[in-house]
Amino acid sequence: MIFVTVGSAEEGLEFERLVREMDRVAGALGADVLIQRGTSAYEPAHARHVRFLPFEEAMDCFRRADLVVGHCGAGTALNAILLGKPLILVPRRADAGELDTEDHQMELAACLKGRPGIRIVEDVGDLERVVREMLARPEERPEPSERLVRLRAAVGDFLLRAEKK
Amino acid sequence: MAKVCLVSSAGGHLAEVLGALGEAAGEHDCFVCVTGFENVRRMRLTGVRRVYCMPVFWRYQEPFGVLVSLLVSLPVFVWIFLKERPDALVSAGAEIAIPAFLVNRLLFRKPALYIESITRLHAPSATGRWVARLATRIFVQWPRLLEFYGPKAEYPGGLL
Repeated sequence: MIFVTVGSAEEGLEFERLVREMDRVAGALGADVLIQRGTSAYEPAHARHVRFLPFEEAMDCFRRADLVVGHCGAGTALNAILLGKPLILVPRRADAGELDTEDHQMELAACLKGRPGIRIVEDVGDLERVVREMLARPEERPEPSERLVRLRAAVGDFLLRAEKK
Repeated sequence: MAKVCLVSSAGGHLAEVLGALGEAAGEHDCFVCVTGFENVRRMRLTGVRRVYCMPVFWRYQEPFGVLVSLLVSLPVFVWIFLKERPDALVSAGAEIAIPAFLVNRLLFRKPALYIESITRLHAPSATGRWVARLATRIFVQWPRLLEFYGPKAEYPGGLL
C-alpha cells in the first residue's frame, strides 16, 4: 500500500498539486493508494481517499505502508523515518499558496536530501518515475539519526530531574 | 516516575513531542492536552494515560478564533493542573503551549521544557518567542537557533 499524506492539521492549507498527481499515479500504476487529502477540494478518482484520519488510524497507515509519499512536514517525515518506511517528500511552496508563512518545508527538504530511503521531489511531474524506483527497491529504508538519540537522552534527563524535585 | 503534562496541537507537533520522548513516555506518567480538533477526539496514545481535548472555537483559522480559544484554555489548564498536579510540562508547540506555560509560570512553577519544532531552522516560531519567557528550558533542534533564545536554550540534537 502507498500512503499519501498532506498532513493532519485541520487548519492546514490545501496541497492539491500532490493529491491530483498521486491520484493520477495510482491510476497509472494500478496500485493500492490511500490519500489523506486534507482540505483539498479535489476528489481522487483512482486512489482511496479520506479528508482526515484520526491520529491513531494515520499511525496505522504509516505502519502498513510499503511506501509513504507526503508533504515535507515534520510529522510525516518523522513517522515514516521512525518506522523505517521508504519515503518521498514533496515540499509545499509558499509562493503557490501551499504554505502560509515561509518556505520551511523547502528547508527541511534540503536537510533530508540524500539520506538513504528518502527522496525529495519538487516537481510533481517526477513523482511517477520516483515512485516506481522506490517500489523497485524496498530494501532501501530510512534510519533514525544519531541526533535523535541525543535529543531523547536530553529529554529523558529533563524528566528525571523534574521527578526528583 | 514523574507526572508529565504534554501540551500539543494535533498533527506534526504531537508527532514531534511524542517522538522526542520516545520510550520515556512509557517510563513516566504522561497525559496529553491537545488542541481538540475532530481527528484527535477519543484518541488513545501508546504510553499516554489520559488525553484532554482543549477547547477550539469556530474558525480557528482566523486570529480571533485562536485568541478566544487560547483565552478559554487558561482556566481549563488551571483546572487540569489542579486535578493532575504534574511534575513537569513538555511541549513542541503549537500556540496551545502559550496558555499552558503561562498558567504554569504564574501558579505552579514546575519545570517546563519547550522543544522548538524541527521545521524551524533559522528563526524561532511565533510560539517559541512567547513561550521562551515562560519556559525553564528550551531545546532547539538546529544549532543556528541558539543565538535567538539566549542562556535557557541548548541544542541536544534533533528528531530527524
